[in-house]
Amino acid sequence: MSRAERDAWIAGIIGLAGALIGWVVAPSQVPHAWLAALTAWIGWPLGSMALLLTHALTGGRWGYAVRPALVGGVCSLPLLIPALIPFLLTMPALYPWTHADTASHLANHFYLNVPFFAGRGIVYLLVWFGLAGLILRALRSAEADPMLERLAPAGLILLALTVTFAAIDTTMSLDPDFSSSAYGMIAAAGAGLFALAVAVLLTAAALPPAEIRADLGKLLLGLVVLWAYLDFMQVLIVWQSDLASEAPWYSVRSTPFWAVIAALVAAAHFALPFAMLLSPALQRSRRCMLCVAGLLIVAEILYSWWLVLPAAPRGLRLIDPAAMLAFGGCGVGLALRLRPRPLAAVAHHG
Amino acid sequence: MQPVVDPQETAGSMTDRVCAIALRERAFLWWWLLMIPSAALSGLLVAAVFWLFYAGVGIWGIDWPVMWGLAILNYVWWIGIASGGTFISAMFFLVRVEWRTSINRIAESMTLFAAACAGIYPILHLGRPWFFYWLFPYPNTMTLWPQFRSPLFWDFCAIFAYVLSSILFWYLGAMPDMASMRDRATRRGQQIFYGVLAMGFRGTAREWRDFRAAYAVLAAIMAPMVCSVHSIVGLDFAGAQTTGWHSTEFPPFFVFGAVLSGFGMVLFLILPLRRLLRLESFITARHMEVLARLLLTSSLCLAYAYIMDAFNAFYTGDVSERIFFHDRISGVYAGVYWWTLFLNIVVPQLLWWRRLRLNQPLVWLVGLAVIVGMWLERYGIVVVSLHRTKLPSAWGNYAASFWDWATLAGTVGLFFTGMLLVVRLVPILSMFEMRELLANARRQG
Repeated sequence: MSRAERDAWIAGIIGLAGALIGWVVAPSQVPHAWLAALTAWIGWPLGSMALLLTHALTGGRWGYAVRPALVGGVCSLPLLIPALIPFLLTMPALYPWTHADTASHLANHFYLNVPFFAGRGIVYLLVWFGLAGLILRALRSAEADPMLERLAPAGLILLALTVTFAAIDTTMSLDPDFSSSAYGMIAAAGAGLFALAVAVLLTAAALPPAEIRADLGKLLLGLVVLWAYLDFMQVLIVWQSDLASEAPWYSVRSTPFWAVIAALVAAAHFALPFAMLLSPALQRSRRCMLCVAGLLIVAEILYSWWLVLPAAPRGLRLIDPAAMLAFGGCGVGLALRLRPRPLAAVAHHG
Repeated sequence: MQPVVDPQETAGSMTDRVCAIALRERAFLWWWLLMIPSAALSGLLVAAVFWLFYAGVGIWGIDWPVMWGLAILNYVWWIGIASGGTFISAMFFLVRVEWRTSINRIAESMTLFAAACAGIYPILHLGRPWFFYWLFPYPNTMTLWPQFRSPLFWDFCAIFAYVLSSILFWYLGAMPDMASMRDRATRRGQQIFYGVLAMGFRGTAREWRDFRAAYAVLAAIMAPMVCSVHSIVGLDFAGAQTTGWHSTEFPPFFVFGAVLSGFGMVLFLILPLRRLLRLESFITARHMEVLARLLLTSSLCLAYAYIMDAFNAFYTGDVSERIFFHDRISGVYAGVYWWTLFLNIVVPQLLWWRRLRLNQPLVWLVGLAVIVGMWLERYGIVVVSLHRTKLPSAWGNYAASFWDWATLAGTVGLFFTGMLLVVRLVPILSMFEMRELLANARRQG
């Protein structure tokens, strides 16, 4: 076991212990804390798969440079299975539509009900684990690129649909009255951005030549803009229409505390990285790229809290960073444990 | 992978071929055969506009509740088609793909005339078009200002900026080629014509340096601008309380649709032009392959948007959305919805097969199919939504009048007249960029 892996597991165990203490001390805070951490982390494996498949179609040097880190992301997917247990146990506390009295008033009860939810969940798991298996098998073979290219179109279509509906099921349905057709696109763009930021951060120590760093910088810039554009369009449309079914979703997320978090997200998820990545000189600087990647990861964590916790409704508690640490530590630990060894060597030649 | 240009071609042979098209004394026979009907349709547009100014918008089919008829849907359709050119010339310039070079002039010219056709409609639709300048926010004695919170005002700003920048981008990009034409022209009239257009461009090192900087800046402005234009068009609809319109995905959805129709129109134009102008060695199978893939990708993005649109109609708590959706798929205008799906989503799926992507007549037909499909999609958004609003007492149908169709046919004529004039007068390939491409190919090959 490498030192990095050991450190990751230690961090994960500390996080888990914190979450466990939280469960004993304040059980009502667990469901949302766990869901927020799950929402942030799942972007890493799913976004990594999407980036690997996109790169198989478009090519480019950047993809080979971050491939080991992206593969690590895919390898962390098995964490989802144990992570689902607390989620499933706490579902009634999360979703009003699981209660018969609330559900009977809902127009979307045909979609938001436990059996259908479970069925969809099984489909997502089959698609994600199936794709992860196929991607890893392709990468282990001698003809990795052509195999990935054949897999990419179907894989990306399946990912787009499953990520969209999984986002609707897990976080949008926290408020069953709220609906936004752009919600899935925002989640997908956020996952891709998060996965690339993590990949840049993990590759940083052996970060590739300046030109490839600049390519990665441009790609990060593109994803930052895409995410901000989609999210801003949702805010703008909800604001200009001001409907009773949508505005409350933002009202609970703009209490004084959550408004500050929203402003921090706007700064760290868009304004600052955007301004930094515009400069070609900064794109080439390793330190700057590390800062941007770190900032984006923090922003994604804040964003997940902002998305999930106000539904409780509550503010930030100690259990929230503990759950996030549990996912981060265990995720990185698992990625380092399961990552195929020869890959790092292949990647340098690519 | 197929080459972007035929390896036999040199900078000299390319310049000869391209200049010869514009400098030849007599136009091709096919040119006249296309120009006569196009000019006739443009004449029809002039007649339709004059009659409209005289008689008012009552000559159109618009009436309560469908007050946005063909004029607005044609506007959205044309501005969508315009996007294809900007994507190819600006977006792909920024990401440095080499295949854009042979087709960017055709694509940008398409943008120019499609945007012009689009820009006509909102002004005609105003009812009192002579007051169109009221849309500008300017200090006036009535102290009246536009509603800055309305997307319609920002739509006006976006289109205005887009049309202006498209003209600038097209003209700036053509300037070095105008200088080549001036130097090659032998007749006095041509020398003066291209000399004026070249604005004294001599090709000095300093001119090239300034030119490149200006072109890159314009490209960097155009690329986000084209997305913002369609997003704001989407916001025009999404902000309203009309069934089928209020949807947060509308801005990206409009971008997807615009790009699809834009790529459709580029394919529709370049496939015949490469044959008629004998440009097969510059616009190669590679271009068809790439454009067909892009068309397929944008069709898939649009399919995603359609899925979310249908899902949201049932997921949302609003009963009127569900009633409207039922009407959309089985009501009077159900054909519009199903044809939209067939032409925009089903037909482009043929392009999954490489053999079919390289079949020129088929790709040309797919291009035409998505152009028609996107017109129908806008018919669905504009007319079908308005005919079933939230208030059942205000339900009603719409039928376009002769003058609606005449105006549409007229803008089609105007578009093709413009394109044919460009083919006749302007170098149809960006020669200076082609020379760089050929030099690079030589160095590598």
